[in-house]
Amino acid sequence: MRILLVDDSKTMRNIQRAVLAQLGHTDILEAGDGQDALSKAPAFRPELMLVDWNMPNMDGLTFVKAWRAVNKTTPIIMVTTEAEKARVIEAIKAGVNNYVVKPFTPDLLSQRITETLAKCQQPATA
Amino acid sequence: MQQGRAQVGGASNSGAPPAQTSRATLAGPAQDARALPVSASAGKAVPSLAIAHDRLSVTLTLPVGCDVASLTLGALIVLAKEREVPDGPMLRAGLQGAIAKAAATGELLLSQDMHEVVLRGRAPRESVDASIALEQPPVENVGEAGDARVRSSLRVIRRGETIARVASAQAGEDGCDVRGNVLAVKPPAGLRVKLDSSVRLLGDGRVIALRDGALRSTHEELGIDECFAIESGIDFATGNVDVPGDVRVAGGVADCFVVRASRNVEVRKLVDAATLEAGRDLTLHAGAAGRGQGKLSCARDLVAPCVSGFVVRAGRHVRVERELAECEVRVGGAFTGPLCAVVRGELIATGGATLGTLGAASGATTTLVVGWHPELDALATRLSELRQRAAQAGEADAKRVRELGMRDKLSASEAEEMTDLSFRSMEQQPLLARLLGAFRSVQEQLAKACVPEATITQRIEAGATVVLAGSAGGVQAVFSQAVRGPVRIVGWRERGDMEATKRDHGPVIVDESTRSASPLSSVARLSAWTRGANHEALCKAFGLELHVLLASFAMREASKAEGERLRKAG
Repeated sequence: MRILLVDDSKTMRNIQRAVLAQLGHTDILEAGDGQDALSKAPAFRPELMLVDWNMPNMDGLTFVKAWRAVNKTTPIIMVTTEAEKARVIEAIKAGVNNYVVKPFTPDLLSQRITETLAKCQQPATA
Repeated sequence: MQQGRAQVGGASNSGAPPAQTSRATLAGPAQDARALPVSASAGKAVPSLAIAHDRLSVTLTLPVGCDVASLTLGALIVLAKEREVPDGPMLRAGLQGAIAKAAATGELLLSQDMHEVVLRGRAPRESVDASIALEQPPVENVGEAGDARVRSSLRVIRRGETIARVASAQAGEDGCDVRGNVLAVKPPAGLRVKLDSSVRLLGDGRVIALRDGALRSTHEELGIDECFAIESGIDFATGNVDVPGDVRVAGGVADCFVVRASRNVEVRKLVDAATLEAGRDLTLHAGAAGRGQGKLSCARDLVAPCVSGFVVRAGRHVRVERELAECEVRVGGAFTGPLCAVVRGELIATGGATLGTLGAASGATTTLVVGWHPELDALATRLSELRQRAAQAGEADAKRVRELGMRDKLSASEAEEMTDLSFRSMEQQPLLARLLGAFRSVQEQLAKACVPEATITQRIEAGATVVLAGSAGGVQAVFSQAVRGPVRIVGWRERGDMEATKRDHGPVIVDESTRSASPLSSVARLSAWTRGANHEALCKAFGLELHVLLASFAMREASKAEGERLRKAG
């Protein structure tokens, strides 16, 4: 499965990469901000995206809106420190499928990824 | 007629092929005779036909004075039949062309000889035998200022390298002479050189090597040998040697040269102050005299009659027959030389040592260390350091997590830090477990490899030093008096009862002829030896007890041996 990690923190990307590796996913591409992700995503054709909210150049929410304009189906998990209810709703309205609030444990991230993939694959298999 | 023949002969001498020449005469069939030039019957010049030696062409000669108007195709065909050249369209066309050419001169009687090829055969095309040509080695740019020793004359073939090119056989084509006979060609011969299994012929004619090694090329065979046999010694004529496979040197090795092989190295004559490195065994038939500058190293065994002035490293065992002098030797296994005199320098034999004499009557500094593995020692120490650092880092992380956990709200960077810390703590335990596993493995290797025992068959000179390495450092014994052999010096055994053995016996010297043991301190001054790591302390850092660990290894080994015994017993 092709997975795109969008986060300006290399440490966070490494953590996410390690969790994904434990789940058996190794086809991973990294982007440092929303603009970088927008330039890489069309060619990479990700099947899952983990997106941070606060990033330089283009934030995660703007990226999600821009991506949803061209692709409605790719599962997106927002991984962020923005924990307020209004912000979560705003993200979901923009087209985010799931939400992980920092700080998170590797177990929690793993659980959210599994959940999201299961949910998004349900209609296709049904 | 006689005169006419002579004239024709004269014409022939002026240029026409002399062999197999036939002249038109009136002695032929009546019809043909009538067709001949009238002047011929009057003794004038007559045409003649000549067949070339290779039977591939027929030439018509019209000599000087030949009556052009009387030339007829029929008469010339008759002439050709006399020469056994069959009639046919090609011949007729040729003859007609010649007649036309003669007529075109406008002369009634030719004023000069005329030679015209009137028929050609088909030359055969010879077959081409298959052949092989060796590829020239690439020219190495060593530079003018390069060390002359580096310019090796040895050609090393690498796997996949093109070593030759084969030109395939090409069939020829039969020819046909002017009489219609087949000129047969021989069928082409295949490749006479046999290619052995170490090379492969590709479809494009390239022959590539299937392994690294030395090129073997004779008239009968082409292949790659794993052994480089050098018929001379190693000197400026050969340059250094650095090859995959084995090296067998018929001569010696001169000062400052390097012989390096991925497998075995064997040298027939003396090795001077050179460097020899073998990926497997090193065998020196005449010994080595390095004058303090030589280096010998091998991953497995070293065998030599005598070695002096060398730094020696052997992964496994070393056997020296007569003398080991002024050397710094490290042996991963056992040193064996029951008649060998070990004089000056240091011999570290992890797996124990058997030698003839140790030290010199002059009191030259000679040290024998048994039961010490410097590399594994260093590895155990490093693992312990890593474990300590990992544990300290874990404690610092845990402290920081506690600090952050007490806050009501975290900033974005703190939230990321917290995530990072939780991830690191998750990785901490497997890392510590891996370090512990590696440390246990090192201890097991040490237990198997280290034998703190030395047997001296002839004599230990006063002043010689024997070190019995141990888990908590070791003991150094400087002999205060000469001791006659055979004797065996034994350190304490560490098989679960180390403390008792240490307390009760300490290191002992056993007279092998009487089997009587006495404390080593009775013949030598004992002191603590601290070059080796203190494995008891290292084990404690890992939360282990060394004697328990060693006992568990011993039990496992015993259990394995028992299992093997039962398996063999069916």
